[in-house]
Amino acid sequence: MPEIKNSYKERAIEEYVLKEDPFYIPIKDEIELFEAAYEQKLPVLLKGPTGCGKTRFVEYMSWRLGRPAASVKRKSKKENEGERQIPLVTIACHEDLTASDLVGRYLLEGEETKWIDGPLTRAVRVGAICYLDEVVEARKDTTVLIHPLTDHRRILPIEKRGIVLEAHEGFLLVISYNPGYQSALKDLKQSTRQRFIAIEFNYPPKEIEKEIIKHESGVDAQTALDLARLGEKVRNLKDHGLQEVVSTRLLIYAGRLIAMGISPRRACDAAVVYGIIDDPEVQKSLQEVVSTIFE
Amino acid sequence: MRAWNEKLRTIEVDLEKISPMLSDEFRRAGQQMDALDDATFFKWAQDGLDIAKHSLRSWEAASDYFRSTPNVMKKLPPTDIRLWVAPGKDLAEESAVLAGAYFRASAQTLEFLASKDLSEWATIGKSLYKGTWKSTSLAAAFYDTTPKLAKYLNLDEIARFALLLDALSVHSYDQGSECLKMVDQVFSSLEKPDRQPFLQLAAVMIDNNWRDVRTYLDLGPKIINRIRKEHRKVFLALAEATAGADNCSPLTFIVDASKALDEIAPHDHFNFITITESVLKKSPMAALEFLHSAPKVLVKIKMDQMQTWVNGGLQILAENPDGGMAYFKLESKHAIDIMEDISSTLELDKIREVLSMYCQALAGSHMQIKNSETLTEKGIGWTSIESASTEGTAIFLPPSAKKYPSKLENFGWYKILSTHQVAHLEYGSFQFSFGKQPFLFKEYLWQDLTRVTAGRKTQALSDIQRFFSIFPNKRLVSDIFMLVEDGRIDAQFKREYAGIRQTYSKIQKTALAERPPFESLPGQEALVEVLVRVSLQQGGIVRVPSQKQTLVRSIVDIARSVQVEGANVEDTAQATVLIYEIIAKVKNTPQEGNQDQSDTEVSDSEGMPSAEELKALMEKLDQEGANPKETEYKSPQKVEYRGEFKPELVQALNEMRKQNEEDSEEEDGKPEFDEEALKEMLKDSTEIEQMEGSEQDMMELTEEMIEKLMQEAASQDDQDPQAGSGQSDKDPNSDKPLTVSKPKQYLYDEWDFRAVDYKPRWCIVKERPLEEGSPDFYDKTLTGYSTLVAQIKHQFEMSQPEQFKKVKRLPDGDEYDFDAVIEAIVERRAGSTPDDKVYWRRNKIERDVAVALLLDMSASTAEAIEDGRQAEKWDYRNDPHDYMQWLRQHKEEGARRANKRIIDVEKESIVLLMKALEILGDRYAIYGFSGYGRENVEFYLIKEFKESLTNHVKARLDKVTPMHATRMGPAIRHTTSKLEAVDAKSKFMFLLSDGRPQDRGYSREGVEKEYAVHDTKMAFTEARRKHITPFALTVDRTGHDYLKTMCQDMGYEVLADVASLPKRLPQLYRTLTL
Repeated sequence: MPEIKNSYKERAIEEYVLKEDPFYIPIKDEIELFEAAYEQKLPVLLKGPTGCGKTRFVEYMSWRLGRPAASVKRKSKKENEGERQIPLVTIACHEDLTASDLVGRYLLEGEETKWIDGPLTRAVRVGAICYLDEVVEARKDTTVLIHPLTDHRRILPIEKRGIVLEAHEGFLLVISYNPGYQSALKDLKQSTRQRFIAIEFNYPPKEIEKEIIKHESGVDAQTALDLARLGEKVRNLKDHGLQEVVSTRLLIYAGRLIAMGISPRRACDAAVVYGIIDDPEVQKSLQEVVSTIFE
Repeated sequence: MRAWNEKLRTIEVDLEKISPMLSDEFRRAGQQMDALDDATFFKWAQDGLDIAKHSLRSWEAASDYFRSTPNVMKKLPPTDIRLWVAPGKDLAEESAVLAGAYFRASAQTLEFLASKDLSEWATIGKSLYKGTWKSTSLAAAFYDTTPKLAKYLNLDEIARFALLLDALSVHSYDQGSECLKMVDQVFSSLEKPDRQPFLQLAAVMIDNNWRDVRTYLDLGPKIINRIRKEHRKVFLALAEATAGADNCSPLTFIVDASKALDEIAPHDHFNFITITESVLKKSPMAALEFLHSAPKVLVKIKMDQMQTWVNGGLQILAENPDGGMAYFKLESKHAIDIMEDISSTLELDKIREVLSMYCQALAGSHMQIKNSETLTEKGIGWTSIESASTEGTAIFLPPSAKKYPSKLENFGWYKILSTHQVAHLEYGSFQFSFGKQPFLFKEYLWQDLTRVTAGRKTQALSDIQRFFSIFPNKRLVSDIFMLVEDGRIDAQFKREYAGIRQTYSKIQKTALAERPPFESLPGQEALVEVLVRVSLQQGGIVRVPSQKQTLVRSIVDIARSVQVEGANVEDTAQATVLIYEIIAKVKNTPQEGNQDQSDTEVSDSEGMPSAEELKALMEKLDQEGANPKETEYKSPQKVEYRGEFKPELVQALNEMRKQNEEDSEEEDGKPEFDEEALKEMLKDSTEIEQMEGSEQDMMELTEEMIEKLMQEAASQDDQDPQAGSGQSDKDPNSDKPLTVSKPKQYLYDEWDFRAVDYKPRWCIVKERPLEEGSPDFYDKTLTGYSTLVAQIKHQFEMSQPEQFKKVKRLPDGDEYDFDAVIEAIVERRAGSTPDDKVYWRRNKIERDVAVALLLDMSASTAEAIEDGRQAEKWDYRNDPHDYMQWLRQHKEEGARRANKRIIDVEKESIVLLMKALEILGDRYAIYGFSGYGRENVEFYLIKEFKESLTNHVKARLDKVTPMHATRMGPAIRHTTSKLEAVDAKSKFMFLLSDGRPQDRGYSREGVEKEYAVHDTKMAFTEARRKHITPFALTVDRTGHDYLKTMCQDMGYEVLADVASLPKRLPQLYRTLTL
């Protein structure tokens, strides 16, 4: 009987660590900033449009901060094993995400109830980087929940159990936020946002984006450049017909499709044009841009 | 001399008895009739006497008889005299007048008719005679006119004509005689083969359209002559077919048809007539409409596509006559759609948005796409409507493209046009500056150039002007610069944009094919032509005279060198200097016939010629002597897709704009431009040269242009791209779709329920904020209705929705729902499977309502409500009890009601509803509408959705007054589009009106009022399709009948008592939306 290789891995949320070096090209000084913030235990707010690399950046930082090379002093292998890698707990926030989803809840188990820690609680316990993606999407009560974690106290009160958790020293809260995308209703409250240092992200310049696309999708340099050029051109339309412009992620998707043998025009239609807009007029305009750039 | 025998004397005496004049005539005639033998002569004399004796007045006829005989005899062989006399005698028995006319006209008539035809002719005339004096004079006039008729018509045709007269005279003798008077004019202009069908048509017209005959005789020949000979017969036959149809007559047909034909190219006439025939067979009326709209349709489609379009209409016509008519009138959306489908012409307006975004994406700055007409209209140097151009902030394109046989290809053409213009912007054609360094050329060369220009004391607005001013032949240098630059940006663009490369190359190849041959051009121009070819990236080999080979080689090499990656506009300038130096030295003489030709490879560059090579070349050229045959240099033929490229003008404009901005920042009034510099630029500019005229004119033109340029630079060009390009106030009587050219005007279709189709672009809705009055009105109303307000407040606060609601029995939630937990445990203990939905959570329920209130501001709302109640009062009187009750009620409200108009009550109700809406927190907008005619639907903004209840809103509400008519359809449609733009879960539209929709032309053929009701109904249906719930509230007590149709499948209410509106409206709103 042929052996079926188990193709998935299961581990506890707080044990998720990045083993490999995530691909990331710094655009400005964001790496230094983040390192400093981590050292100083300052929570970080990542601002920027969707698909510009916020999540990738957090992954990269979690790997970078935890990698052995970061501490040159360690010499013996034994000591190296004791080196702590930094887990990354990512929580995608949505409008129904409540405080108990983050902190934990009682579950019925047999004749009794049992407390189950939520992902945030786990991150606090083990000292992970907890990344709340698109934090404004979550219900208001969750933002209040993170307040005591983000100032000097660094505690997480769990009312239902009547305890207070002090954060592990490696714990860091990172939230992301896409200004402009959310409606005014869902803006981040000042009392919340003023607890974070903010790192601004934007789509990378053409040259860097070309490298990213090339690396991530495996297309040749010329195609990557053309895709980056498409990105640049489409972004010219921001606020002139397009509310949201094409993300690096979508450009990479287009590249991947091309790498799989889809014709470039078709790939761009599928990944870029139809992806970002429904208005047929604008679609037509974008298609014309695509057909100008790609054969 | 004839012997005057006894018999003759007796006759003479007898004649003498009747009238002495008669015997004189007889004698005078007798002396000229030697040709007759005695017997015949006697017979002739006897006949005369017979005629004279016949009746009291027949001597006059006899006198005519004697008088005209000599002349007649000149045309008639003596033997045939009886053929002439006998019919005359017959006539005389009927009427002396007739006979007289017959005799008088005979001599001239005989020029055209044979003697044997005389009797038939007489009979024809006689047939017109009916015994009345009118018929007599007509018949007489017929004889009188016959000579003229016979000049053009044969006897058969004359008979037809007489028949025509006869038929006409049944209706009117006057018409008949008038027609006779026109004979000469009518038939002189008709060609022989056309006469018969022409008459035939006239005959057909008698039955149904006899009144038209005279006009037809008048206009017909002119029209027929405008039509090609071979088509006339068919044409007239077609016209014949329209006879007897409703609302259509042969006359209108031929008039309209000829108008249509005038606008159609002659070679299409036959096809057109055939197509018209196909329509005519189905419906003459539709054919008439087709004739009206055909020229318009032909603007969009070609004649060979016409039948397809017509077939579409015929199909509809077969199913629905009204629809078919609307189709051929071009008043149906379907007709326009089919036309668009067939058409290959592409209008700029249709794709403006797409192109504008496309260009903006490429250029990276806000790009407007405008009609090139708007640029030429500015009068600042651009002259060609057909070519593309840019002046730095917008791209100008021709209004339509029909170069290619399909829409798609024409779109491709537009794309290339705009791409080339964008390329100018993207690669900095208008950014020339001495401050920048060329990419290719050596620095010292550039410094030389900079020094030279700096040394010159010309005033200039821009570096490019300074640059051009170095050269004596400005036209030549600017041509060289433009060509080298065009070549540079085209190459650059093709290199970077792989997708468009192929299309671009194709267009370039087409452009190359259209170039004139070198041999036809004089020296300098031939070399510039080489530049054109190089800029179009012609590959392969060019044949040039061998002695010029080195020259061409150098020019090609220089021009090619800037087509490499990274070259900038400064490189173009540097290359221009080098090329100019070569070409300027060449004599612009015609090329000699049989020169040696040799091939020169132009497709690849051998790199820049070295300084030594160039120097040697210059020296060689210097040695050539003067040539008397030298002609003035002319610019090369344009490359179509490149349009107009005016670096100097654009840079000057940009410079002026910049200056303008700086000046306005300093706030020192009007900006000052360097007028001298402008004058200098225009002095020998090609723009002015293009306009011909004396030196004086030139001066004026220059002045004018400077002024306009300054205006242009000063104007903040933020307007809507369509603004200012024309007026929308078209002829109000026109039956055609409208266009809008102003901002805040919107076009809407209108529903034609008979045609079951939309009338395309039928109404213009003009949106504007209502004037502001006093804001006190709002508060006063609230105070006035304080009891009601309190009630409303209470009701609406009660019904305010809970913000959070506890939802139980969820699979997941904030906390346990203990009831459920206990239940679950009990279940399990009991041995059955427990329900695992044991949580509860608070769910936020958002009330998300947007409502638009649409207020009827028609004139009828001015009616005081007391008048409306008059009738009611009488009703009540029949029942004393009811009356007393009403009276009491009336007294209570009396003070408040006094002299109140419907509109006032409407306003008050709105105020109360607003109060309620404010409590609820629903988003709402208030609009009023009125207007006059379909091109004037006024739409007043009282409160927009995004506005909050400011004093402005309150003040505007005060100004709600009765205006004009009620065209509900477009107002509803516009409100729908307003609501569409709002993001809300439930959307409502409240129409508050006082009666049925009505407006000028808001009916079918002016009578069918149903039309308006159906259009309104359709507008409501459209709203519902967009998930808007409409509701109509009307205070027209007679409203039930039409509202039943208008508001089918939707909510409506008719208020019998206007005064109850303030109370009812908030109530209704509550029941509807809560």
